[in-house]
Amino acid sequence: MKVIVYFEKTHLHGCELAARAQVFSQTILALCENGASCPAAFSAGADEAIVIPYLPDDCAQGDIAAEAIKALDADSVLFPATIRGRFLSAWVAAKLNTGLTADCTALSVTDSGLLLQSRPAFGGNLIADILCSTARPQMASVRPGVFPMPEIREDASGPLRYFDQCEPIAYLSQLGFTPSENNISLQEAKIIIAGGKGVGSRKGFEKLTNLARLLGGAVGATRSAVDAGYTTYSHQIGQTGQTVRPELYIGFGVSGIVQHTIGMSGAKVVIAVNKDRRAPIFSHANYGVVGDWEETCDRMIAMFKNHAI
Amino acid sequence: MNILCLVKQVPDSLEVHLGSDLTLQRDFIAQVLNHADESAVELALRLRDSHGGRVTAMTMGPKSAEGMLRELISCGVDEAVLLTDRAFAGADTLATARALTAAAKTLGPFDLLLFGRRAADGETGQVGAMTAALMEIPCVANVTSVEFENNTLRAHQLIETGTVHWEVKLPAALTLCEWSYALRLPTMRGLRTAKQTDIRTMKPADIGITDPLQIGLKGSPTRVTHVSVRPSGVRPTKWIDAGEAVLIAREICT
Repeated sequence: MKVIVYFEKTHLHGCELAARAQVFSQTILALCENGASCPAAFSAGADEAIVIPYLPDDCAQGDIAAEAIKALDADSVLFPATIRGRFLSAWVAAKLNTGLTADCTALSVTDSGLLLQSRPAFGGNLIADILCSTARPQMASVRPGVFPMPEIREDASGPLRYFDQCEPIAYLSQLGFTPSENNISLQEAKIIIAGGKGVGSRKGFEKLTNLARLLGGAVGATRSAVDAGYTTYSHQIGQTGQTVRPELYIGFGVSGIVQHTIGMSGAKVVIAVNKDRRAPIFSHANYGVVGDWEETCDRMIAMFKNHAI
Repeated sequence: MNILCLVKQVPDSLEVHLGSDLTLQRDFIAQVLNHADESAVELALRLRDSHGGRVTAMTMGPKSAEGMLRELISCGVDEAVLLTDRAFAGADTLATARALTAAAKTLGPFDLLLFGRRAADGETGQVGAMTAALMEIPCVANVTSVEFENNTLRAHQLIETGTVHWEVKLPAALTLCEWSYALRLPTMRGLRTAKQTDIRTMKPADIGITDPLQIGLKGSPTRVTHVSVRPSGVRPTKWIDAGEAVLIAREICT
């Protein structure tokens, strides 16, 4: 199978997809928004890199990507399912008149050579296997963090060419960007301090932020905590938020419904603190504390204040 | 401003019933307006109230979706359209986008197409972008707020790392986040209007679709071939107290 992996300019999550695609494909083409991600793409297993210009207009970018993908004539195309990546993949699929499966959590190839795409459905309660048997290419998007990031060598190289045979039309003008307040992104954090509805207030989340700061980690949240206004969407983990794979996840007042755990089950070690012993989060936890979240949080803050990392 | 809101009914609960063809059976669960679509409708009403024009709400679904459309009329939507026919059923996101595009072209021209950013059941978030691509109009996804002044639309888009600010030429499409605009309550006058209004229903032929292979299950390039229940968490949990948790965290973090 010949697979195209899309590399956005701003991150290297395409490497996760390229590394995964090596398991089931003979040829991997990296379609890179600019040249900077090419070495990473080669070190993740890409056989060739095709560089397209980066445009600060997502719709025009989609047009260029569609033209390039059409010209490359691949069996499958994989996009990182960032908010922008999902948009681009949908735009491209419509332009190419082909099928797209969003947010795949597993990819493989069937005996008949089709891309088998599995994705959670219905709030994560079900896993649906999806095939695109007639239209080509078969397109899928995968959340950052679903497949492990391979080791990246910045000196990797390979054959590289430029694709600029299309005059993009203008759709949108980007006026500016306002970064969100959190300093460490959930994607890169080795330690995540997550809070659920049980944390109870904005003030509670300030406490979690203190602990995260002491540990050099990031604050995560469940959807219900975000909906309750305790923190902002950029912290949300789970089906409608981000997928994370930290070394350590500590969940305070997180009940652990599947919409959340789908985004954190890749954590290496999980500590959960919840007053309800039957909370589903405990079945995802290596260590469970049944009790008041604040007591454990306070004790951790006290400990790490005295032993700064 | 002439605005089309593309809305969807979703199950009120995440319990699942599947048919023998592995498509979702929607008959047995209460259906409600998708949460994010409420933002789209409210934004449309606000833009109309301050700049004039008309708001049309459209959904593709079974005849029973009429009730939801009537509720939207009671909130102030001017017109409601129901795309309903067996041939539309079982559509994936591309087949849905094709039907919506054909209908928008038939009913239009519109200045703005507004969608919820994703449906609570399928959660693909693809239909808005796909429809815009087929309509060949600009699209901004994941919008949290919008300003419209001097014929210029500004849309603020939430992404993982912050907010991107866009200027958008009309006609355009936007997909709205769930919490951005809370839908107003129905008025007494609206309720009366809703009772008296005819909901316009349209079939494939009414929107210029003559090829049955464009829409519904037959027009869908993707097919669900198997559905399984997701395995739940499997970590063996060691029960500890707060003090031990502190020590374990310390051991891992240092």
